[in-house]
Amino acid sequence: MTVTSQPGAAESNASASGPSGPAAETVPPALRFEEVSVGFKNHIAVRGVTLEVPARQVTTLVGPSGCGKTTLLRAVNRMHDHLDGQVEGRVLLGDLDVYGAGTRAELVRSRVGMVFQRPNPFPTMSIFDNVVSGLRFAGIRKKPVLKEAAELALRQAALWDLVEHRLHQPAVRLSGGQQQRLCIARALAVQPEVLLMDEPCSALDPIATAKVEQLITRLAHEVTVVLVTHNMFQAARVSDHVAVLLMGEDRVGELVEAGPAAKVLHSPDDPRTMEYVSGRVG
Amino acid sequence: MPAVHWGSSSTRLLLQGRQGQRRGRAYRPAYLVGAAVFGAVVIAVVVSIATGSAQAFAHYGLSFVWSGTWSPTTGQYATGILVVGTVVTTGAAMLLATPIGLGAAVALSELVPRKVAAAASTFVELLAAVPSIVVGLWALLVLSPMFARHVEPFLRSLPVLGGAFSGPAYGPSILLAAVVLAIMTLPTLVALSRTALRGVPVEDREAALALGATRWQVVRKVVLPTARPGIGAAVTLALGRAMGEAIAVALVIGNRPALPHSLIAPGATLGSAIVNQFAEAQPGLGTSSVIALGAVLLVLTVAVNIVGQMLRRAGASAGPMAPLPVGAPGGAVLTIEAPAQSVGKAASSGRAIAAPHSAEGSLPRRLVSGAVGEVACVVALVAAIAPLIALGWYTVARAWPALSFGFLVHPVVPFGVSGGGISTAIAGTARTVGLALVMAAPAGLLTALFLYERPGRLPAALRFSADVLSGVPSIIIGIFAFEVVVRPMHHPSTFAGALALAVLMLPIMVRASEEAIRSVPVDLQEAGAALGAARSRVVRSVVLRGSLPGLISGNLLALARVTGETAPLLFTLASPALAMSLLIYTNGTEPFPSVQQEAWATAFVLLAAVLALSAIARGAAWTLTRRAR
Repeated sequence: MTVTSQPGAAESNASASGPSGPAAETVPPALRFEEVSVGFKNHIAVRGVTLEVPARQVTTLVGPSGCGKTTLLRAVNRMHDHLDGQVEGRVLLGDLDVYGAGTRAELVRSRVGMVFQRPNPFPTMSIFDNVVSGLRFAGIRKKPVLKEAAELALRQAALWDLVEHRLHQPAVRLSGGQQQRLCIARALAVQPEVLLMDEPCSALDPIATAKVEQLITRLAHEVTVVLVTHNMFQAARVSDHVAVLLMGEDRVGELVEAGPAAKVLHSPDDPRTMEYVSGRVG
Repeated sequence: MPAVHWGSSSTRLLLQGRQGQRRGRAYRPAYLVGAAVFGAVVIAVVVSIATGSAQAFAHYGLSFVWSGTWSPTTGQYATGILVVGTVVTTGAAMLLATPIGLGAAVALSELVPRKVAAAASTFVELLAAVPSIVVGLWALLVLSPMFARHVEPFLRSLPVLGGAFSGPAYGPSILLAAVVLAIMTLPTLVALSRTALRGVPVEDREAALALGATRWQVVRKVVLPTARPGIGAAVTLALGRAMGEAIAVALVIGNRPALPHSLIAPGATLGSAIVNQFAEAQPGLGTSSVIALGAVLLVLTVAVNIVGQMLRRAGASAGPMAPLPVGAPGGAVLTIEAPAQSVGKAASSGRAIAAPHSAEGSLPRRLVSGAVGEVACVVALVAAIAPLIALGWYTVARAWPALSFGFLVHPVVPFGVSGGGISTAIAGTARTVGLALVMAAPAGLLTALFLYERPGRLPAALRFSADVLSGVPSIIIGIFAFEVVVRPMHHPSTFAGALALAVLMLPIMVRASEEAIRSVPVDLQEAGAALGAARSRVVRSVVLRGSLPGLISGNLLALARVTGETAPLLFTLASPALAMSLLIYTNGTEPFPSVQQEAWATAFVLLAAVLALSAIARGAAWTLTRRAR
């Protein structure tokens, strides 16, 4: 059941070699969508998505507003459960069937991290408490363990040097960009297999955005990143793979094309992708 | 394209003729007068209690406040003992009510399906309108015998806790009063706590869920801590309400002014002592001493309410916090260290830390403890609603045999005479409440407009005093009306009763109206102003029309609240036959079953009237809002 999240030498090499077909074939995908549709009470948001997300690379979902990128992303860690969302098809996290009978949402979520559009550190908690909150939810209480995990996660999120001496200050005192990196550290602290990022830079200024983007490319060495963005330049900057979702004729989101970033963004197969991408990438 | 010649159009000429007119010049003076009236009321309440109690404080000095001597003939009412009684009774009530109310609020806000929650919340808010006299009647005639026979003997027999419940089981007791206060404050507690919980942003909940937290962990670790100031406000405001409750407590506490040695012993509170002693006090020093009890109660409740309102404001501003605009110490310098180092560290210590999914082992345990907590909350929700359903059921069942058309249309007759009804009481209540509405509504609306139009400290202070005034016990407002009307005119009157009710309505109207007015979008007003409309015109045709549903529902809710009031009418109306609530109070305390039955029937009519008013208020707000959209 457990999939190792330690980056072995082979995988590091594979991801370092860039977006290439063979790498995805030798390593089993971290995440698989099989004919996934998500619907709410009176409308279907996204339909019939089949997609493999390669391990330890950045896969970006792009498309216009309302095409179901975020909806699809939130289907991975069952964030539609409490909103009466209906998910059909199969989502496989490693070999775990996310919507299988007897699969607890909490278990799925403890293996998947998520970063939201707006930075959302817990307002009543300190920086330290925020970072280790996922571990505490999981019942880990030993102080040395928490401390080490917090330092590691904050280093991974390039925040350690900034907050090392004020770990016990309220998290909301940080600036917006720092808060978002704190949220990334919080998601990393539970050592997830997959990190879902839902337009993580949409509330940030250009400098903070640059830092987060740098972070994303670096994190892909250790964790599978699935990024949602409406910014094609961002997609071009950070992605190994790109999946394009567009609205079908009945205003339901569909997956149009997926593949290595360079291919999809510059010489797509599908004319619809071409039409969408050509106006947006230089 | 040909140029448009504005100057030659006849519309232009018409407009030119009217621009000199300055209409709506009375608008500003009007709201200033409204605010002045409101400010004068607040001051008058404080001054009347102060002057009324001056004689007692002059005679006994400040030691009156902690005196333990009970000697009504000389005007000594053992204030110290009453204060202790008040604190013990309301403290016990809050110990009972807080966990139940908080659990119920968590269940409503987080656990039960949304539709059920909406229905249950509306129900809870309706229950907040149940008049205290109806709760008191039910407690006196149903709960009290039950406590004497079953509950108190059982508590006494408990092994360790029994010590707190020693002595004979009478029924009326501090415990019963505390239970009654808990039941009465629960709707307020649940409604305010639920608002605080709903105010926690969905982003915070989802952040916790995404980290693998169970639903219960989200509640415990994220929602409750974030909502803490709001919950504190809910508990404090409920405490203030419990402290000031007089009538229901007077009916069930046993009215024995002695230091409480057991929770099932009879006791007394400041409010219950005022109810019982006011009519019998010797004119002069005696009356002044009772008013001095009111002064002590006023200070206590105002202090509690000030704390509550401050907590509420803190809770409201603690919502989704924007990041403080402090520059990052690092500035624009990128501080990302070499990736290799970080990766190496991750690889080396990844194993040393808990394996990523060691959480799996503890998940079942977390789910079990979550289920226990969730069940407890749903049980609390049932416990919060059940007593009030029981109350409604008893009222209907006991009232049914006595209800008839004749009961509604015949006047009140003395005991022993058959064929009586309550038509005079219904008419009296309608007259008093109607007069109160006429007095309070204009002042309330104008004050709300003042708060809306003027920035600065004075409106903020008025707003705060409106909030605090709405927490002042109704019995103190009764004393106020007695001091300013009944005493100078030498006899009670409908006007005196109506004045008391108007003062009770005023703060509710002010705040509800202001809230309704503020809900009108600013851009609509600017659209009006940009067309050259005078401010008064914009207010009339955009602001007031836009907020009409809220204004109507706010006024109706205030009306519903005072329709069931008893304590302020006790000293201001000439006869119990002139108000339904007073009739219930006098008939309910008679030992004759037939008279008690009339009290039940009157309670049924009053309850129906109050609930209908509240329901209409909510329905009006709802349908009018929908039409406006």
